[in-house]
Amino acid sequence: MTTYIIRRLLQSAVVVAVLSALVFLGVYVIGNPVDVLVSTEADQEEFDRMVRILGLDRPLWEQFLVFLGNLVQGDLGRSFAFSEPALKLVLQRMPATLELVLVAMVMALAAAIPLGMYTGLNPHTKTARFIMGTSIIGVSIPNFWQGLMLIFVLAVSLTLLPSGGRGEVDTVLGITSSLWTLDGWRHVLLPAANLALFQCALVIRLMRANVREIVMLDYIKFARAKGLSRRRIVYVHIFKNTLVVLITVVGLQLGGLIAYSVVTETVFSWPGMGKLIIDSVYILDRPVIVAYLIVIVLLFITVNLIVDILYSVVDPRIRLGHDRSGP
Amino acid sequence: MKKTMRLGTAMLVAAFMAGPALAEDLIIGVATAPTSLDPHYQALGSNHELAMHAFDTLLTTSPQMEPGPGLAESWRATEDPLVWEFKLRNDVKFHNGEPFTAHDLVFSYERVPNVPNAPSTYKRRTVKVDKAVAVDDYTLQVHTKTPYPLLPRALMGVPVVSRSIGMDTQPTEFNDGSKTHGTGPYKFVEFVAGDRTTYVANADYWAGKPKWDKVTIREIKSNPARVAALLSGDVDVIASVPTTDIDRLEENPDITVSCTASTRVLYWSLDVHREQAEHITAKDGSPIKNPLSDLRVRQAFNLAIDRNAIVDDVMMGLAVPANQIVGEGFGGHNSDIPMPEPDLEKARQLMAEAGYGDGFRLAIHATNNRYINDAKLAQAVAQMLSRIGVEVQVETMPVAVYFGKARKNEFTMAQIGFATATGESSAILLPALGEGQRNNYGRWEHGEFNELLTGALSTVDGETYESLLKQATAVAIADVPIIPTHYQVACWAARKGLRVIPRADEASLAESVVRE
Repeated sequence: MTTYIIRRLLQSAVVVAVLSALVFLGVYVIGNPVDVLVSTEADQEEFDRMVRILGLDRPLWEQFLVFLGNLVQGDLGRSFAFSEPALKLVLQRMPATLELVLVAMVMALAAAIPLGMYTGLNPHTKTARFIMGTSIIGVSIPNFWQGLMLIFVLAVSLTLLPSGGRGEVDTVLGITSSLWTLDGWRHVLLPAANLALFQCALVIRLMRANVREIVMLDYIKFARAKGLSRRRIVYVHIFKNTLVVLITVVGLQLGGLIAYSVVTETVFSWPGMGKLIIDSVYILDRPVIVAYLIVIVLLFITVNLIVDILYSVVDPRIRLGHDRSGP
Repeated sequence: MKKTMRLGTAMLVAAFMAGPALAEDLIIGVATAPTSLDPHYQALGSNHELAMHAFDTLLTTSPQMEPGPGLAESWRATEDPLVWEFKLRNDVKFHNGEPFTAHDLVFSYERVPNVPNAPSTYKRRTVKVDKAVAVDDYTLQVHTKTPYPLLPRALMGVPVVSRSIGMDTQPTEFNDGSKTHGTGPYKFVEFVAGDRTTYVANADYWAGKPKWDKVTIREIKSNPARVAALLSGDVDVIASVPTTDIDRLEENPDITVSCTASTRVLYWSLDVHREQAEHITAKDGSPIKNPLSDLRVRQAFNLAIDRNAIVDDVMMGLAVPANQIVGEGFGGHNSDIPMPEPDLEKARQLMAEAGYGDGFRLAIHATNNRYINDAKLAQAVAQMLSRIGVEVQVETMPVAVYFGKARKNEFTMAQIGFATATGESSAILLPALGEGQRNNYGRWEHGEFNELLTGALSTVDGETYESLLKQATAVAIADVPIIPTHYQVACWAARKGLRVIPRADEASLAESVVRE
């Protein structure tokens, strides 16, 4: 297990190095951040001063080596635009994104698992067909438009929920989150629903396919023949066996949601990492872009690691760290 | 007994009604985010409007960008053309109780060019300042390097901080509030990056009690979301009303929209310098001599562009046609310059006279995320130019790519927006058309213009300055090195019962929001 984790971490170090090299090159090709940062009033002298302060006057390879040197010491540099440590900026915004994604995932699963089970077990009923039809809409509506519709219906027309922004935050057990306050929950519901809808539709469809597959398997037939109650068959023998697929998808989607909640965060003015990265890309704030990518890579790796460990928990046949080609 | 009781109740009710009004909170939704709460960190609109809540300036800036008494009650140019004298108020205190004196001004102006790691400071405003001297606690003398007519206007944009914060203060120390005590109408409470900044009223404000008890400035970047926030009552006021929604909001009886022409002018910069322009060829693709170096071609372009169509169809009425650098009412505006009327006949004739009767091929460049409707504007102008035989290709790009190329003079005809921070035209004329300036993308050089502009910028006599500036504008516009199309209009929308006094500098200030 330990070797497995260490190997994973080493792999991620390589990913981080390659990614940051790409960002360096990309930003360099696109343009000079100082062109965006410096005000139109500034003269050439001011411009040159800024280039010097940000270290952009040095050759690219030198900038990259300096960056790598600092990275090893845990320093990701200062944001060009905000003059704050880049990592601090990203981590500052992380709780907002995490809580949004978490609520969205819980919402999606709470709805999708029962619906998916139902449609899988009773595929030919009218209700099941209706659910499947609706889920197609859920998968295909653009996130952006769906978010605006949620705002216009629930916030503007019915004024049930706030139209955007993050609610009051509170600190409980050392964790600062808006989920500790009622106001926070009122604010998180709409954006979370916006994020959840696609996931929900996706999980319904996966669950259904998976359940239908399992129902056909021999051990279910055997369980029936043995005279087990339907309840036990559904909850123990079928549901438990859908978990491997479910965990895989949730794991993958969780990472994806964290990294790509950009649209939702923009539409709902949610002060998370997604909004930060979009703004940083616009102004070519390289240190923030790199810091963000590193954090995302680490998050992905952690999520994947947890998923892998959970695999071996739910399915004892799966064991970690073994050479798969061997006997 | 009963009577007295009733009377007592009545008095009680009256007392309540006459007493302090209920807490009045104001929430403003703005489109742009600050990069720092350090008022000297970056000369950026979104930073400055926040700074103007917690900090004051030596002179105030009126909505039409005229200097007025602020921390200085009065000011004058002394007999020595290099020295200006400001008489300061003696009843001003910083939020932490320290009294404000001339020494804080001296400190502030010294800090401006020396802010650590600042990307773009207010240095341009203080660059002509040789030294600021505190004659006594309430008299400030500013010595300029050369006679400088714009000093009051330059200093009216520079926020004043307490000298007790010390020169080592990092910009980030303002974000957590530890150094954010100014003398302004509101006291800083909290800054949540990417979300909001909160202030409470400074009850001891020298200009009287501020209008609002608590002010929250929320960052809502997405246009539809900002409008939705106003319609749903989540915010009281929004800035940067999108052009697509303006009609609907104006028709809404629960919303008050207020607009004003801003100081931002949009113009096309023409490459008049090169022998052979980068992006011009004959229609068959063969290289030709740069047609834009011929005045007649530039005049033809000027006549082919229909400014009213741009304003009505692209900007949905939210713009004012422009024929020069600043609009009416701003310093240096020359009302003798006529508004060019679109005249295709004459434009074609000028093209033919210059030898380009058959037109040529041209690529024009514009941003697509900087100015209001920038990419659409470029499309419109391309169509207008095609009517005089020029085959135009439009290339738009994000601002991060655009200005690097513009600075390297890679464009032949490029869209530029420029706002004047001083409310008069020299703040644009000099950087955009001055010889060898960074923002003179077309590399236009004109001896007479330079002479007039330099003359204007070295006299402290208001009238001479104004007249020289007007002449310089006339000279420049006649030679058509740039084609101004319109001034942007800045709009705010407020919920029923409130109205925003629109400001030409586009700043959203709590003190500009009034009850109706």
